[in-house]
Amino acid sequence: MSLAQLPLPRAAEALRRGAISPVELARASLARAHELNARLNCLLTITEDEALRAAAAAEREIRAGRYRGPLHGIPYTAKDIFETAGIRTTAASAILADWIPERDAAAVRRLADAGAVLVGKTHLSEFASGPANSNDHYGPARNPWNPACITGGSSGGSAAAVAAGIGVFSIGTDTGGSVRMPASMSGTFGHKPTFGLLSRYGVVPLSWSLDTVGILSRDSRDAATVLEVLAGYDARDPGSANVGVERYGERLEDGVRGIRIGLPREMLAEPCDADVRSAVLAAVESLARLGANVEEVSVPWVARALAISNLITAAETRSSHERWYPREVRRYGRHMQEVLLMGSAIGAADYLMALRVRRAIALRTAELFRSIDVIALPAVSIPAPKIGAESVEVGDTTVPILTALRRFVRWASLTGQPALSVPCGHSRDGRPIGLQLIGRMFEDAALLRVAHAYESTRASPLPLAEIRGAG
Amino acid sequence: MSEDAIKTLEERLKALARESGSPLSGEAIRALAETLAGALAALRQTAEALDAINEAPAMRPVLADEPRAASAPARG
Repeated sequence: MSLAQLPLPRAAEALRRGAISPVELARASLARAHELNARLNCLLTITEDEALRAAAAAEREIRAGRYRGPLHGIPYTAKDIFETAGIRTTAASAILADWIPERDAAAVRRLADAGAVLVGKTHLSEFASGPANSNDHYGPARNPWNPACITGGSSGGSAAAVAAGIGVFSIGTDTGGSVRMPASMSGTFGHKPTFGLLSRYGVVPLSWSLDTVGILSRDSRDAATVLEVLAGYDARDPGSANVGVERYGERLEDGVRGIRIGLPREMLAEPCDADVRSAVLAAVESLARLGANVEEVSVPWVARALAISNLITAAETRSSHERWYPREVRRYGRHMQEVLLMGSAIGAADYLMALRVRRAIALRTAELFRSIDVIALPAVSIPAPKIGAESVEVGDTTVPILTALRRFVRWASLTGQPALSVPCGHSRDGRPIGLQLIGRMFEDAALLRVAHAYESTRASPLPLAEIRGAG
Repeated sequence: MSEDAIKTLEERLKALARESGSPLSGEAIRALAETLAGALAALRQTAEALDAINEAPAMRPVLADEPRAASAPARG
């Protein structure tokens, strides 16, 4: 295993003991970034100089006995929608192609304060809109497991970077599944924390009532470690929740005995790839063998979550882009042009009705969670499709790609509940599959515990993607 | 969704596209009209099924312990 591929706990321990230096680790990560980015197109900017400066500072501090904690000296990447002072932040758009912010986003600042080392800004769908990480300006991000396939979006560059061992973890955003979809299709762990738990200050907005900062990592323990650094109230974000922050990794080993897991009957009846369905159900059986109680639940009111969330997102995106649209309409890629035009046509009464329906769905979901602790379902209904595909055959049904990708992720987006995708196997031709788990509001620790219990049933940790020729 | 509804939305989208200088093709606008009509139909069906007219708009996600429809207008 190369230095760049060390798991977070081993890297952190080696850094703490002085067995390896932050500079060595940063150099290894940067070398991997340079080597693989030409094939994967997962990074828009490699922050070489800044990374080496931060790593050298971390090295001096650790040597001087001022170890800050488990992220001190750890290389990571950030979706290029987080503002970074002095480093360009493009949002994978032409409009912001040369923008160099003067401030750090709250998440970037917290990670810097914890001593983490930013090695690159990752690719995304333009302005974080779209589930495929296709992009008219910067080309598509490519899946490390099969570069002919999409990574999933919109945090596709982050997922690909983690899967390829470029940085130990990444931060992304999830408005309508944009952390969970790429995590599922790229074989990484993806956590959308409860809405309000992490500050969005300094994140280029897409849809303010849905945008959520999320974490892409190799497993649940790494996600918990990063979450402990990122969680916390921030008055600068009007969506921030003033709730206590937990030690998210503290009870990861407590197991799932007695935990009630609901399988949503109507959603599982939707078109779903056979390999995805069998991998997800096998994962749930593994949790049952550990003592979880699994039962089917009926959620007919979730069926339209995708349509409702599309309306909310389009309307809010149109408003978020007031400063550029329509003045700069021709500088947007086609997908954003479509979203913005659609958002322009949604009337106030329809937007507000969508928000009423959202509350109705959230309240019914809260009622459901009185009798269960966690919902389990696929993160994405198909493994990663080929780049450019517009539809996919699922059983004997032809399904538009956008629907096949987003079908299962919008429920938790609408309600704001914590949700994650944990790798649970591969399709017969080797494409990753993710199990999605949804928990109660602000019970992220309990949700991570369920994911960790599932991870413990695997004989060995899931490998990073094997990329031909990679060192 | 009805063809009339799609046609109406298509005309509206075309007008908005003209106003904004959007380069989207007529074919793309037609597809958008179909998508939007489907979403609006789904919205109305779901609103009725869930009696959502009596809920307050959720300007942000709803906390699980939030009183039900605290600011919604009285029924009837």
